[in-house]
Amino acid sequence: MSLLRVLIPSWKFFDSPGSLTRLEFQTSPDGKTWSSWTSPKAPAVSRGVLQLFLNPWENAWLAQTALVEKLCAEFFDLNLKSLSEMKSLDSYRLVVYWVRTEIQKLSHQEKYFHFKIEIQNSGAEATTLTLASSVHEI
Amino acid sequence: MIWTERLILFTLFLQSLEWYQVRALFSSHGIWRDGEGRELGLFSRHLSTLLVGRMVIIVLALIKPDASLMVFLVLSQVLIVLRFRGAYNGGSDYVTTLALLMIWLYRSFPQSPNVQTACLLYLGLQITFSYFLSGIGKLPNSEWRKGKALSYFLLSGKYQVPVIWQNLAQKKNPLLKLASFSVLVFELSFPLALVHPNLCWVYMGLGVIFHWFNFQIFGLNRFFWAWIACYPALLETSQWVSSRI
Repeated sequence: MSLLRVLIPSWKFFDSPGSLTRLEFQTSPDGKTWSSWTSPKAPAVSRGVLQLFLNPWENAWLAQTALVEKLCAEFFDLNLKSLSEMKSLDSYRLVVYWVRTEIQKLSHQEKYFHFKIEIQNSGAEATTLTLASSVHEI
Repeated sequence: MIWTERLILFTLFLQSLEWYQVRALFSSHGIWRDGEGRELGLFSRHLSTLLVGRMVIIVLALIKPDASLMVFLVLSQVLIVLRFRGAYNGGSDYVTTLALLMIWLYRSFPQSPNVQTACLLYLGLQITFSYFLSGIGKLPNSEWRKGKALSYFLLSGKYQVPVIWQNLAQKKNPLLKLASFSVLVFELSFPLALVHPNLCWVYMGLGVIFHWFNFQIFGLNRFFWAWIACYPALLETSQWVSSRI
């Protein structure tokens, strides 16, 4: 975020339905047999008075989902053909860290993982595009 | 500006406390770990400690406002935003940082009423733009013009929307269509808040309801506090503008 962006923000909120991204991952203990696709677990939703003041996990969840959107935006901006070409980019590494963190919450037996991002474009001609990562060690 | 300062400090305290609660996410094994292209030195490695320090500074600034305390808060805010690679919660980060910058400048020039007025007006105008330009941005989209946009956002899965609101959207409740149009009208007409302080009070009241619903539906509590904190500056801007019309 540049200082200019702070001083002259764009002020665009919920302007268009746009595209939806969905992150899923698979894990494997040996790199041969893979689990079923799993999505990161979202925090429980609560809208009480306390959450009006402090809603840390839901805000963190929004920031995490924004990471996936940023990765997709950079993928298209850079006109790339596969997610593997993004390995050196910050946005890719952050999503890898997110998936790794999620897997470590679920199991300590798994050794490998990969993930995919489904991008659904809304509108009259709804389309779905899937970006798949390469295999990573946990 | 004094009340905006107090409220933005309160907002900043809440944000710092929230980050402190999720500090595992930016630990050495977390998602936003240090040393991955965003080495910010000591600040980054001891972010939790600095968040505690920031909360202490906020309390001190609330007790005795001072430009030097604001410098620390502005710098720490910018560094935290950098740490999170651009923004954590988008718009609320921008409003908080913008308000902090203006308050710091306001405090830094106690002998220059013109600079202070400029800071106040800039913040007030940006808050007005935040609604108005957001409304302008929605206009080209047919989903908004047809009153269908809200239903889409409720069902998209992008946000953690409570089931009660999702059911409302699934049943195509006409209230949602009305709410979609109401959001457009509210945002596009927001500059009227600057015409007269009484109108400004009306828009601020509507704004509180608007942000309350944003919290209830999408969980955007940071947006609620960041914008409400700037309302006193908006009211002063309205008083300034209306006295010159």
